[in-house]
Amino acid sequence: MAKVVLETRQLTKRFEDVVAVDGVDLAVQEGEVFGFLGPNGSGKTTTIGMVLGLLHPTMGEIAVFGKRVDPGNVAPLREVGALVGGPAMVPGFTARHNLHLLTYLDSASLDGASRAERVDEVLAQVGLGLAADRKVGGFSLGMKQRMGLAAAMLHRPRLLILDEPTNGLDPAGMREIRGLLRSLAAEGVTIFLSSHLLHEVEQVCDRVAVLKDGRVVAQGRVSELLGGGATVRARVPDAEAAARRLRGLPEVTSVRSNGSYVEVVGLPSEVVNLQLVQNGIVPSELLTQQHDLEHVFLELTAEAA
Amino acid sequence: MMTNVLVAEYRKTFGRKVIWMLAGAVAAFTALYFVLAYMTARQAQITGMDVGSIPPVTWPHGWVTGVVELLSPGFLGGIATIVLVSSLWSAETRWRTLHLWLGRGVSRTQMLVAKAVILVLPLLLVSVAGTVAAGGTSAALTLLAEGGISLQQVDGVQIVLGILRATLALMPVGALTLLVGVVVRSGAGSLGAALGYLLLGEQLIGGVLGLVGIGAASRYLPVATANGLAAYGRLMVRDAAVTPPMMDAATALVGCVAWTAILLGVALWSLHRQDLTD
Repeated sequence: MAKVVLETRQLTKRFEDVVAVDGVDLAVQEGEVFGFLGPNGSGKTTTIGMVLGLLHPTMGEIAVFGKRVDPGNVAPLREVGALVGGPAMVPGFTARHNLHLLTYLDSASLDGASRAERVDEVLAQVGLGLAADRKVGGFSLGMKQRMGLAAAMLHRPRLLILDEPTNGLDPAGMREIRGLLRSLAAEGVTIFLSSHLLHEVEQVCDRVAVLKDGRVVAQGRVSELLGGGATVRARVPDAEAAARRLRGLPEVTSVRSNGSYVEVVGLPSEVVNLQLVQNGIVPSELLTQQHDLEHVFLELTAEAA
Repeated sequence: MMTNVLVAEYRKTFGRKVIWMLAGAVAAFTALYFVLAYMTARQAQITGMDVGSIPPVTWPHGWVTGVVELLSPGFLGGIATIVLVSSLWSAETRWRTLHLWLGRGVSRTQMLVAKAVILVLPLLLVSVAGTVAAGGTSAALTLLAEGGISLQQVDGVQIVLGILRATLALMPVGALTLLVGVVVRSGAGSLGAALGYLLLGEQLIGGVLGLVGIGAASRYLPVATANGLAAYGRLMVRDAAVTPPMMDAATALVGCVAWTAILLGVALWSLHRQDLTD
């Protein structure tokens, strides 16, 4: 069984009367890309802030590589790289200077050539090789995001915690960063990826947790959440009557009437067709829609609301 | 890890232009002040006016004016320290480099201690800049007026000690500014509050202490104690007659160290309690 590298138990954060994070249990396994999903304001960044020792949990525990983390004990985070809430850099320093400075934080004894080599390597990885000697203050949002990613990767961490890493990037840049994340994962780096870009998460992540109003409403493998399921939409003369007939059938997980359509989850289209016809309802149109993460996400967050 | 943090903090701090600009500004202000004071004194002599209120800026007493009066924690030295610390700390929170370091396993204690330790170096730079500007301008003005100076009139060892004392005397002001910076997390806020304390707050507290019958205690408030230590800069000039009674040296030294430690301790306590949201 894979080792758990990041675990939270009943993690809770209250800001006066507002419960931002409410009893969150997460378990991120070594080597996986874990997606952390949720609408804006659902508590994703607050959760990450607690994991990184920036915020005091009101309740609950955090363990990174099996060692407890809180604002008074952040030593286990030395093997973590993070990009949270936008990159943190000295704007008057060049990209190279900023990263060079961070190499001292990671190891004061490294020789100059090794530092320079690693800095150049990371800058090239994030596509900033040609901007290495430009001041970070003049960078675009996308370039700053790349810088933040470079800073997070610089010390070859075993766990990367990334909050919206493709924010500000153009589609080509997003694709490039997704490729980079995949290659890091292939090298065995565990990635905790917070994002609201469901397409991105679906493409990159092995498992996901969905957060809504500070609570985890679903957690599991992407394939499990998608459930291999599909929605069958049937155009019928009386959608309410059709929905009544289909409800209660074994394996049906959801039936909804929507105007002149009835929408069924859990049955293949031929069975839906047969059931309707046997009940004297002849559908004039049948359409099968495969579920994607966006569908699941919207269903989960809507249900939780 | 602490060594790593200290080296990184040193490199970050000394990569910032503000330090060199501030040291240059202190030197330039000192030189300008000396030239203006000298010209005013000359004008007063010609017109027969009283020059008693104009501090001596010629050799060798210019050294004392520079270090004890201008560079004192209660005046230019203190103001420079407040500007320096506010800009360094507020930039950390604004740029979120603070968050970056914490998220890399640097503890809040390591970060604040590194900041305080490395802060001694820019303060030393400010002290050196002010002292050298004072001595140099004083020498230049005297050479211009009298054609020569006597190096025997100053004590080289005491000049070095004067710079070190001036630096140490700025530490309580630096610690106070750092404390305010940690609490308010705003450059303008820490600048305003620390300057307010420096220029007004301590006198008000002194007044209150006087009203409750313990006015003597005001001598031991942070800036007063720091001024007490900086006053030993008078020893730079070999002229015992101009040395007024001063706070006991050990008391001033221990007081400065104690105030620095207390204020940093409170800053650390406050930082540990904070949620570092944006």
